[in-house]
Amino acid sequence: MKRIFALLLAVVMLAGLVPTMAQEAPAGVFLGTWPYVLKPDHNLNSFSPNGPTANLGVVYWQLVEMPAAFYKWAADEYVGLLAESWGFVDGGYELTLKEATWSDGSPVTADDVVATYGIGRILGWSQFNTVASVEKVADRTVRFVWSGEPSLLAERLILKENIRPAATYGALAEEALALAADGKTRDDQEWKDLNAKINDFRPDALLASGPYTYTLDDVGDSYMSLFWQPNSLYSGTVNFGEIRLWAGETEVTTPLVLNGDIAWSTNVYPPATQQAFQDAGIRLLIQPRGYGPSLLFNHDVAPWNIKEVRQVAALVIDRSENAFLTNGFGATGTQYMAGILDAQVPNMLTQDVIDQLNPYTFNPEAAADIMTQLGYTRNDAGKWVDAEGNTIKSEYKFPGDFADFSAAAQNATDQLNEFGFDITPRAVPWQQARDDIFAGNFELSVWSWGAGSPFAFSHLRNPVIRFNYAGLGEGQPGMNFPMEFEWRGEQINLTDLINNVNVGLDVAAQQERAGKIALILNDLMPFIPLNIILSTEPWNEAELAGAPADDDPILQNPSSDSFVILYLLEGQIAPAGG
Amino acid sequence: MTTFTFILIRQMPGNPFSIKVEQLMREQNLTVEEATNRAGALFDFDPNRPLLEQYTEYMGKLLRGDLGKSIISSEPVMNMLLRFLPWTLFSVGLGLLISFGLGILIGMLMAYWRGSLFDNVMTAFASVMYGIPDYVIALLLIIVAGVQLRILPFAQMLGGSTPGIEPGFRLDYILDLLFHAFLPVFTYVITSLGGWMLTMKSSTMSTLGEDYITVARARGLSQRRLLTAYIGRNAMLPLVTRLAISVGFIVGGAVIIETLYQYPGLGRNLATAILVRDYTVMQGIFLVIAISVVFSNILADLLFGLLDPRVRLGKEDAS
Amino acid sequence: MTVTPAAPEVVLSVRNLCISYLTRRGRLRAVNKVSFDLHAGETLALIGESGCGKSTINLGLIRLLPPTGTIDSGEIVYRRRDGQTVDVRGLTTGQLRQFLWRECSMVFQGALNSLNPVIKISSMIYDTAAAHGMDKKEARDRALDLFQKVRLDPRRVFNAYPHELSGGMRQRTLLATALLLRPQVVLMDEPTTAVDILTQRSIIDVLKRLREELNFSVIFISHDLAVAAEIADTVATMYAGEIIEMGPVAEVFYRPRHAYTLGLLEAAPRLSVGREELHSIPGSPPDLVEPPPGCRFHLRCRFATDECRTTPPPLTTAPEDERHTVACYHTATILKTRQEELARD
Repeated sequence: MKRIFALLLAVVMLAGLVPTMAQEAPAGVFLGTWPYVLKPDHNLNSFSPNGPTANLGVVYWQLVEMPAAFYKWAADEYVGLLAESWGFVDGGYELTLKEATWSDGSPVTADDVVATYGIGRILGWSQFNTVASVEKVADRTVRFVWSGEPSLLAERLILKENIRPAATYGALAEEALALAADGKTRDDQEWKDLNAKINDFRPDALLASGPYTYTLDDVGDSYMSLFWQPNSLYSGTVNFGEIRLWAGETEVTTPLVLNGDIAWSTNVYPPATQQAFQDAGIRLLIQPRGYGPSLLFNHDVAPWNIKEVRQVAALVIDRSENAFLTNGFGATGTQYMAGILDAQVPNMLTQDVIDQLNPYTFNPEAAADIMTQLGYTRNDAGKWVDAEGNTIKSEYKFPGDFADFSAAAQNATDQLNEFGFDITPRAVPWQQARDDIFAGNFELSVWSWGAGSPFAFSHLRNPVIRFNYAGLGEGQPGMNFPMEFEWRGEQINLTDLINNVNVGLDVAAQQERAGKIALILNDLMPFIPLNIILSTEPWNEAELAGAPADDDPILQNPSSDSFVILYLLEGQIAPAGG
Repeated sequence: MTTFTFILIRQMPGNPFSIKVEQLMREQNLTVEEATNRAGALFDFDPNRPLLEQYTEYMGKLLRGDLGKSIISSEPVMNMLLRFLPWTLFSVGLGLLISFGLGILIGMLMAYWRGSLFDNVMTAFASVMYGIPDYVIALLLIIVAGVQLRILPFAQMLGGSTPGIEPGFRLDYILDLLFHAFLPVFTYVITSLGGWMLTMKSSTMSTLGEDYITVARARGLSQRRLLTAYIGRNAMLPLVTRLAISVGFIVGGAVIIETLYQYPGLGRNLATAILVRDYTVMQGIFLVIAISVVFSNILADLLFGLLDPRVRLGKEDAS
Repeated sequence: MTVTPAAPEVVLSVRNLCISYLTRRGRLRAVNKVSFDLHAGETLALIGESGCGKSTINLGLIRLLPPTGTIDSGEIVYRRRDGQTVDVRGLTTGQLRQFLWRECSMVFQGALNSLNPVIKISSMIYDTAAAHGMDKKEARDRALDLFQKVRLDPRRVFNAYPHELSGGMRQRTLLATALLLRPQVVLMDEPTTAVDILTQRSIIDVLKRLREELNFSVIFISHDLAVAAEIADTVATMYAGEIIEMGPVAEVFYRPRHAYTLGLLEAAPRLSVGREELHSIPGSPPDLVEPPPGCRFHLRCRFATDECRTTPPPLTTAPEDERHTVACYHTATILKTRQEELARD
């Protein structure tokens, strides 16, 4: 009797539960922020400039149009999101999707991937540097056929790309594929017309493979909301029925974070605000951002064309002090001086190379010796002067509207002057500061180095190719650092070295190539990597549970590969106390 | 004017393309190639096209009433103006009317009761308020009233209306509009009130010395009639010009406030457009500003005529 | 109530009125112990140099002094048509508003500035009427009638703005407006000063006619003796805030007994004589913050004696006419001087 009753109860409960699980949204509201654009600019075409790509930002977009996989940086491994399996095959790369559905209930298939890349080719995606074609192999399997040398970078680009629905973009994709089949290129008018057509396309609805989607009605002036939808692979695991994204940048979101209206923010906050958050009991999640400020020399301007003078500059700037003034808790002084962000150095370089790197530990005495050897003397005012008595005068141009870069530049100026250089700081609008670097119209300046990438190539080319004639257009000398030279008895073409650093699938060979470049940069100091900026994202634990501990390796993911993507989908993040 | 802004806008450092690249790199941690590739496909804008060619095309379209399309979103600029302008007109206009009305009233009473406690308190208040920039008021309002004292549900008050509410001529929608307009309107009122009060006070003081006021008093007129038709109306005359000038600056003056309060007006739109160097949108907004300045001058003349019959008839004193 | 049957009744009685202004230097006694009676239908001219306090009396009588001015002491008693007396100083603000214009109206100097430039004459009329409970139609009819009486084109003026009228028209408009509520007393402050001689003439004519028709009393303030002589029944000469001589117009003009009055008469141009001998009074009016001892005029007086310099002369009544009062020690000498002068002319 008792068992029958229990069985009956179980049946009743199940009857009540099953539809609930299938149809009712979870109760929690995730309070985030992103500077989306307002209507009427806002649209639902994720190939267009003001579509979900820009309007949701990297994190939230993954919850709507999911990519194939999520990358864990510290472990160097992928976690499949839409992808069931993936890997290199002979002459190509194969990706098999899980049995997933779009928000309208239709399955996610290889056709969706083919359509996505059909359009991506028109838009000039960098995947096509190595991919010749994308072919459907089975219902849920696609093969990427290599055009050139396969690389791990190509793999990452493939796995990270968000897959869009053929139901929405199929017609455009067919046109695109037809053009490619016809042998048309970027220079053909049809190609350009189609590019414009793709940009102007305005879908009525956003089909989602992730557990959230939204319509234009959900876009308000002050916030927009993503709402839970039942048909995603992850619809059953997420704990939030709504993701509310407040509009606006730092100045708007600061009070909202303090007030608890935003539980997690991806904006950059100045040191004083970071302190205020901590005082209010809000946790700061420290993650890499993938860049830091570097001191750029104009190699056409004496004496910065002399290697030893650049080394002196590197020796007399205390990088920890510089880091703290740059971004408070959210910056660390560069340790390895290798042109690769410190966090990636152990992965990208061998221990042997690391041991050979000059750490440029703060040492004004050693620097003074070098200056003396170079023929400089100190005058009465403590400034270094050449034989004619001229001080080493330079102007340090920096973007006044970037708080972090301008603080780094001003502190570097102070420290250089303290040692005996004669540097004048000068603030200009950031757009102009950057254009001036391109044009070689500067003596000293500041811009980013490093990259938010697990590949040495992206790190090493910034800024030595990016802000140098090697990577710029006609008439843009940039820092004008010569890329071809003799180094330790060997003729070097640095451009070629960097461009080929990540070619192929042999990790050890790549480490070796990266090591050589790192040693060259470390010795020649074409720029000084001052410090590394970290993101300090306020995370309100009174509202959100499930953030990793400070020493959790997943916090080595930069904010663009934020743990929030994975933890939200897998249900680790939940409303606090709920 | 159009030519001037056209050239000026294009002299700004940076262009939409390079700024998008930077934005993609900073926000999405894309590498330079990826960012450049994506940005390149995103918009149909050639920064190297000759300026003269761009200008001729722009003017040609403008003469046909076509303001062009946004470089970034390819949305017609006219659509954007029509969407954002009403919010700015509503909020700044309301703020201006309230501050003008209040300033006139308080300023007049200050002059009327000059030397009283009321006058002294108000003069001090006005002098302080006159010197504080609007964005400081806005920040104070948010931080002190919103965050520290928590007497203002400012998060709910951001924006122009509650997301999802159906627009329509209904009480709940109108109340929602007013609720959301409170922050910007209050800020505009607080920042401009002091100026109106002080100007009105001094203008009233000189009006009070006029014979016709004494005569009107001698005629036994009621206090109210005396204050409105005799003192107020005459003292207000010099302020009308200032009001009109302010009307002209409605659009331009709201950039920071609208950004801080996320108010969906033209000012916030302008801030965004400048940030991404959306030339066509900036041109459209500057054109609106220019037109509103011209209109406000016409308005000033009309209003002045309405208030002062000597001007209305277009002739000088007959004596 | 004791009313002398022969004399018309007193409508306004002023006793020992003292008014002072607060200035940076101290208290300035602008009106000192002024007393007079204004009878029904009478026109009293207050004569004196500018700054002698005549305009202040006017403003004091209707309690419209500027904020720095106060009535220090004295009585202002007004007698209404129904025989009730009104203590003007004791009126509340509301009562004062009712009293003004209905009982006692005013025509100011400077006709243009006396009219609100931004409203029409009609509005001004209606405002006045509304303040005193007169309905619009009655006000309009009455105003049109009055405009007619002051020889204005009624409809045009009624619908005009002040700036559309000439100076003389404005002055007459003011005059008509002053009579809108049929007051018993009209205070006129230099009503003919700012206009040309022809306009002045016509205003005086109009005023005389209206006075006969409507029978109101007038206090007429002027520095112009000729005008005063033409219009006034009684003349009061003011010097340094005090009435130093008062009497029927013929008495004062032909038999002045105060050195200052004499001086004024000598200073007035006489068209009747070919031989011109104009005397202006030497010196300037005394400082009223610290007035001189004795007779206030002694510094400028050619008849002054030691007595004049120490003790203020009391007010005395002339033997020929009890209505003629004067404050001077040398009445006989002065009367004689005037008689000789008149004889010479």
